[in-house]
Amino acid sequence: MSSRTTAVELDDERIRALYPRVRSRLVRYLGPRQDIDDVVQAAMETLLKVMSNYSGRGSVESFAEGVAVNVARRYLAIGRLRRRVSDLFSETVLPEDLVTDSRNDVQGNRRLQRLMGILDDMGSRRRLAFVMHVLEGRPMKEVADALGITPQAVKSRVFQARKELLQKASADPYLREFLEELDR
Amino acid sequence: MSEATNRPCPDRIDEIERYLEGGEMTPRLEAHIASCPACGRHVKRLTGLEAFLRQAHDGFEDMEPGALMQRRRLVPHKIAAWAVLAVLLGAGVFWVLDPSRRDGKGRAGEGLVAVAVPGVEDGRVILTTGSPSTVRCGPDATSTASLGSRVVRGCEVDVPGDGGLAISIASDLTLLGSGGARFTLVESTSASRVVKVTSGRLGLYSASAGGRAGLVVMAGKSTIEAQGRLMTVSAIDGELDRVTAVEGGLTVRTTAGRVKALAGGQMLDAGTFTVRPASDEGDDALLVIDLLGTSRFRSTLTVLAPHPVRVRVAGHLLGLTPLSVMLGEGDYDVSLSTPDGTVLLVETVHLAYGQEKRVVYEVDHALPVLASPGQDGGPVEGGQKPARAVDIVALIKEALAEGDAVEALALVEKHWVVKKGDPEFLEAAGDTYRKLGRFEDAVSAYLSAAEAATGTSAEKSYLAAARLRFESLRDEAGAEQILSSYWARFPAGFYRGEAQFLGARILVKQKRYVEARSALESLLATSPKGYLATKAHLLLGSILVTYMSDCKAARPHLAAVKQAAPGGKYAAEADHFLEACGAP
Repeated sequence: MSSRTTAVELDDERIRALYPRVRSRLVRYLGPRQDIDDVVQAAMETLLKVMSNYSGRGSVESFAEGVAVNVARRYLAIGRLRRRVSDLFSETVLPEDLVTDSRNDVQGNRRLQRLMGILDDMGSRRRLAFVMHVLEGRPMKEVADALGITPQAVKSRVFQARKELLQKASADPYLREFLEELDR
Repeated sequence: MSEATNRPCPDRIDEIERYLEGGEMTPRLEAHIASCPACGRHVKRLTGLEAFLRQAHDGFEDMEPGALMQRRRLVPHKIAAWAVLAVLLGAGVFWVLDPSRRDGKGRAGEGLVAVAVPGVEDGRVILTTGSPSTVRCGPDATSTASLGSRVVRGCEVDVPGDGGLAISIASDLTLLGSGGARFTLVESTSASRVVKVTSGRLGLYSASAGGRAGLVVMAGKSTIEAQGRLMTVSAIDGELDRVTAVEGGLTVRTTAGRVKALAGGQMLDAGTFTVRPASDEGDDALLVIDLLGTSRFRSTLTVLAPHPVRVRVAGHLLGLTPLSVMLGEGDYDVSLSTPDGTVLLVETVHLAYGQEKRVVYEVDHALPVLASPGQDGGPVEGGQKPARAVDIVALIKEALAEGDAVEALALVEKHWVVKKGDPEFLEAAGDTYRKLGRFEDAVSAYLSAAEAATGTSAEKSYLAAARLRFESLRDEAGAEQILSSYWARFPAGFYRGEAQFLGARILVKQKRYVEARSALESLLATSPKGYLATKAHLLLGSILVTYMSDCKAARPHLAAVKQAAPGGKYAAEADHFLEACGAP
């Protein structure tokens, strides 16, 4: 990967420092999916391309994080279309993947897999607001800044995401059982 | 529990949201939640789900990429057709042998007989014994189990101490609840059947020779994956007590990470987590016998059992199970006995034109666990020869058309040795294995059929094998290899368009988009108006949008789909991709 000189020197050392940060953000937004390293690569390429737009306001790390958010958003939007492509002519019911996990926690993993499935089906705007605010515990204002929307819009998206999560979980046999355990 | 009973009060949503956002639990909200179960449930559930996700989320960075495989959208596979079949059969084919008719004849165990309905997606009660069992499908939906009662997913079944119950949850899968059993049908789809046992003993019997894929039993903190035909699971107070692999293996996993694989004839004591021979268990072995009869001009009587069982019809010993004989209409005395001569059952069965029946018997007799019976049905005594099927392939196809893959499998296994060189038989065998989810066996059968056949029959067999390897086994390289064999033998075959289209789909899956584009363009150039053109336009348009970011090139293809199939499902799909491109 070659370095470029922009308003801020983005040399190899800086890229190396930014890489784990961008990767960490993307893993958190998208989950540990198979092609995560491809997405990280795409995000780093985008960062190099748009670095010339960096005005010097805020830290480079925040700028890189903004790029990661945009790449994640695009990935989630295109990902739903890509799932459509792979399902287009599939006529066979495929057995659900059994989750492999070092802890052998079959039940827990299956639940997590189902929950991640619900998040994958969720719109990218709702999902990112939910992940950043609820799962990462970032304040609404910060999420609003990162997503370029108002805190009120973040609140609304989080509310809709919670509603969708609960509705779909109630309709899923594995998760329904989990919910019933939570009731006790 | 219905969705409505879980909905929080609309006028409290804001307060609840504030609390979920980390706000104080105000005395007002606390008092409300104490008196409003729906609001309390809503808060508990969301808090629990979010805590679970948060905990997992914190560990994402430590997980390998792809550790959680992506969920695929399951495409309904003729589910509607199966449901219609089930309803039709449920309405018309129930055939209960009246126990009073068997006076003077030998009886097996409780002597209760019922009829299973093949092809149900949810469960259906096929046998009850003693005091009636209870089926709870929600707080206000409790009913008494009777023959034919439907048990949908989420329903909890309670079998009284002096009762017994059998539920057919698939054409080849039966649950047998002993007295005191309590269990729930958690999931019931063609790909996956999940049953949770809370107390008592539950038997699970698969009529398929290799067991049933996707069958999982949950008990407390343990999960049991069935690989064989017959097993029993016992639970006490919600925790697993013991598991017995009566025939075929199984794997037990606990949430603590302990794993034990059991072979047939072994049992696991959950308390000590140790395996020992099942004969130590001391309980009677659970045995179920299916009698399957189909008829057209002549009827077929098929007897399947988890162990080798001798079958006599009208006094003539015909051999060991699995066994299938052709008989004319009428009543037949069927006698089943163990190889050591113990009579298990003597029953009169009625075969009639146009009727299909399955009769399930629970036999209160301990059997030694033996290896699977031979495919030839075992020895025949007294010089009696079993009757032979006239057209086996037609019978297999008929059974498959009627949704009874188990019967088809019995025919395939019975006649394999003699017919394994017949391409039509091999093709039918492939169809049977495919229906049963035994995809590797199906691919082998199709490939053998392709090699044995000539012309379009061979072409079709190659394509069936390649499609299965690609779609069901997710083996793109293997599918590509089969297509190579197809092209080598049929460079200008009748089904070359199908082969080209399947090849393009494989390339898309392999992320070889440029080659896929070229293959689809070539297909469209040679056959612009062919029956595959719409599909080819759609696939090409969709990859141009999603993977090649070329909306300009995609638009004419997607427009062609809308023009060729206006208002159809492909047109709706094309709209999705056009929408992503925005205005031209």
